[in-house]
Amino acid sequence: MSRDVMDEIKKEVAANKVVLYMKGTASAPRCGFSARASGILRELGVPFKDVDVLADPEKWQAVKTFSEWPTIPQIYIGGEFIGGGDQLAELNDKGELQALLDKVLED
Amino acid sequence: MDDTTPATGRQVAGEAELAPRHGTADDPRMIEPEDIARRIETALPGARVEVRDLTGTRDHYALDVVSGGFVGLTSLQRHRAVHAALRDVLGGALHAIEIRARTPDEVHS
Repeated sequence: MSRDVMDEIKKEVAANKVVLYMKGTASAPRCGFSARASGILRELGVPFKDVDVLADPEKWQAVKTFSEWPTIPQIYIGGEFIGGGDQLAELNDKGELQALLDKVLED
Repeated sequence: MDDTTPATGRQVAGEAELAPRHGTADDPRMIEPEDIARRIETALPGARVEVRDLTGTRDHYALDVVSGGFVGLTSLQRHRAVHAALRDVLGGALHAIEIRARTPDEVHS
């Protein structure tokens, strides 16, 4: 029985308001870029689902195709692809991230 | 010629990362900054590209790209344009990039 990873990802980003695909976990990131992204979310105190792609190489490949984005980390908020670490940092710097999160989390 | 020399184990000199390499232990290649810049300049004619090696290991780079082609594009779309230019190397020799993508006007403002 083959695994439909694309479908798993689709359900994952629909079922969780904030999802971060990263290397390592939020408490033990294993890449500087992933550490930076999870650090931003932790600082804002938002609950998020961290998905460690190093622990799931099949999902690692699939999420790149799913998002049409070649690198990790990747962030989804309210089921929408936000981008990678740069986009997350940019939204935060512009003060737009908190507003976006507030909107999604209150729904 | 000596084709029979056994392959030696790959050495990762000065590797300071605590984590395992980015999943490409089978791919020891690196990419030169000039190569990255050239690919972007080809895809985005007239772009000004600065490439900074973040780790000294020729596989993690910060890119500062200034291009008139970014006008009217969102950050996501700009990054997708840069990714497209690096399609052939990203995920292979190029492990990770940080991209700053601005229009000429944004640089001056």
